[in-house]
Amino acid sequence: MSSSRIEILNDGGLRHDARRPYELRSTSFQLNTHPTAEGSSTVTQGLTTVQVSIFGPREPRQRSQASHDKAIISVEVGVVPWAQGGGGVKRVRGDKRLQEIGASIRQTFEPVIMTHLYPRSEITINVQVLSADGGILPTSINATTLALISSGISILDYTTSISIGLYLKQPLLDLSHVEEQDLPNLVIASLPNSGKITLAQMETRLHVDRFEEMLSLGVEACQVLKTEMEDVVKSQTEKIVERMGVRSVVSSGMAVDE
Amino acid sequence: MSIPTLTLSPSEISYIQTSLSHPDTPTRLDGRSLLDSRGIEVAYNIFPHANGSARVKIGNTEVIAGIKLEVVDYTPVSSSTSSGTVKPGSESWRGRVDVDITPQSFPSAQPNALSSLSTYLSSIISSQFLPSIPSFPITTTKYFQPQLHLSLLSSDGNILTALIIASRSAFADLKIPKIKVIQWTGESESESNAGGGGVIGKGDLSGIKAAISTRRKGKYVTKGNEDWDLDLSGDGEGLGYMEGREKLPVLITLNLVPNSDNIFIDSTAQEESACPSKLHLFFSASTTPSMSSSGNKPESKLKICGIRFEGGQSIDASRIKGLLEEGSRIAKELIDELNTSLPK
Repeated sequence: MSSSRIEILNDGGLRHDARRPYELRSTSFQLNTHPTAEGSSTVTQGLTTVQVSIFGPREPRQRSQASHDKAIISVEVGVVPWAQGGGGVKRVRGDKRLQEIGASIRQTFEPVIMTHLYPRSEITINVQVLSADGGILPTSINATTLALISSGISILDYTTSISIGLYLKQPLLDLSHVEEQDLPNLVIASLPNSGKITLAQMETRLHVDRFEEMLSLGVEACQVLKTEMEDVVKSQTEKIVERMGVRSVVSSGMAVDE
Repeated sequence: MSIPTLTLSPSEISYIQTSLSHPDTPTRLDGRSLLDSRGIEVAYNIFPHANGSARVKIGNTEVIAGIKLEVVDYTPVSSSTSSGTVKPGSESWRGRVDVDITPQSFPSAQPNALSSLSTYLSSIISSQFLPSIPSFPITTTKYFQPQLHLSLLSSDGNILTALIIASRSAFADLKIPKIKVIQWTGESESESNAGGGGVIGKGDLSGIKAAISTRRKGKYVTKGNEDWDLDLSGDGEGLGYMEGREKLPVLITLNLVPNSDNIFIDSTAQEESACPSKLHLFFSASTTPSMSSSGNKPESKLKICGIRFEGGQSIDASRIKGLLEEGSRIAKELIDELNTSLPK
C-alpha cells in the first residue's frame, strides 16, 4: 500500500481526516435493530458500521459442546465484499482473518458474561460488518456490548474497546484504515467501572517504553465511550418505561410504582 | 426446497390452511387480504464505497445489496471456428452474483444448510435476473463486469422477492464511470516521408514507429495501444446510470393453498411452512415506459422472463394462464411503483 501518499499527522497537528490525535470518530449507537434476534445493535464509528445480533441463551446446536455449569459462547463474523473500499471476491465469512476476529470477541466476553447463570445453554453472537474503514474489532466489541444489554443477558460491566496507534512518539486514538495499515497499533477492551482490561491485542512491533502510555490512554478513551453508550441505553430504557405506563411516585423517600 | 422452514404443529398448519382456503372470506394471520403485500421499503445508495447499493425491507425480511465494477478482458467471438466461440450467456463481461445468507436470518439452521441455500439462491438469480443486464463496454476488448453481492440480514418469508427487488434497486442505483478512449495514431507512410523529420508528431524521433507499427494494406501505420481514461468533462462526476434500468425484472411469487384454488402473495414464514408450493414468475418491462394519456405514472409493457414452480403440489394445467395474468397484473403495479422512485 502506498503509505507515503497520506500524511498521518500534518504540520498543523491534524490527521488525514482532520481529527486531532486524541479525537475519536463520530459515533452512533442504535439498539434493537434486528427484528428477530433476542438482542441487537448497530454501531457506527466514522465510516465503520457493524451490526451485532444475539440469539440465546438457547439449546446448544452441538450437544457435545454443552457445558454442565455454564453457557458456551459462539461468535460468527461476516463482512460484505465492498467493506474497506476493496474489490469483490474475498471470502465473506469463515476465512482465517474473520475467524480470528471472532475468537478475539469470544475471549473478550467470556469473563464478562455471567455464564454460570445459564448452564447447558449456548449464546450465539453474530457480527455483520456493513462497511469498514478501520477498527472492525473495536467497533464489533462495542456493538456486542450493546447487543448483550439489549438482549437482557447478565454481564458484569460495559465492555468498550478502542484502537491506539503510535506515530513518532505521539499516540493516536481510534485509527482509520490507512492509519491501521501504517502504524503500530494496539486494540484494547476494558471494563470502565473497574479499569480492568479484558483484551489487549497487537500484531505489530512497539517499543515497551511506549506501551504503558498507550494502554492508560486507551483505558481513558474506553471510559469516554462507555459514557456515550450509557446515555443511549438510558434514553432507550426511559422510552420503554414511558410506553409501559409505569410511573413512579416518590413521596417521603419511598418510590411507589403504579 | 432448501429454505429452512419453521416446524409447525399439525393443528397450526390446519388453522392456516383452512383460513386461507375459505371460499368467501379468506383470512391471513396479520389481517391482510390474499393479494396484499406487506409494505416494501427501498433505500438507495446506502454504501457509498460500492458502485451501486440498496437496502430492501419487506416486513421483517431485510436484504442489502451492493455492486462493485471490475474491469475484465473480453475478446469477441471470431467468425472462424466453433472452438473459438464463446457460449452466449457465459461471456466474461456477464455479471456475477453471490448471496450471503447470514446466520442471524435463520438462527436455528446448521451452517451447511445456509451455504447450500446461498448456492441455490445465487444460481436462481444468476440464471433468471443477470441475463437481463446489458454489457458495459469500455473499449472493444475491455468491459466493466458488475459483481453483485446480496446479504440476507433477517428473514420472515418472501426471501426471493426481496433478493430480486434488492438486486434491481442496486442496479438502478449503479453508476457507471464515463470513459474516453485514448489512442495515438500516426499518419500513413507517404505523409510522414513528405513531412519534416524534425517536427514533433511527424516522423519517428525515438524509433517507436518501428517498434509498434501495424501493417495495413502495404503501408505502415503506427498505432499506440488502446488505452482508456475517465471522462470527467461533462456535468456530474463522470458517472451515469445504466441504460434501461426501468426495464429490469421483478419477481412475483404466487403461493398456492393446498386443496383450494386460492393464491396469495408475500407470505410470512409461518404461511410458507403451511403452504410450501409456490409459483415464481419473473417479469421485465419490454418497451421504454412512456407517459400514458390517462394517468401520471408511466405505462410499461410486461414480458415474462422466467417461471419456477416449486413445492411438490401439482396444479391443473388450465389454471396456469389465469395465474400468469394475475401475476402480470401485480408485477405491473410493482414495476410502475418502483420506477417512480428511482434515484435521480
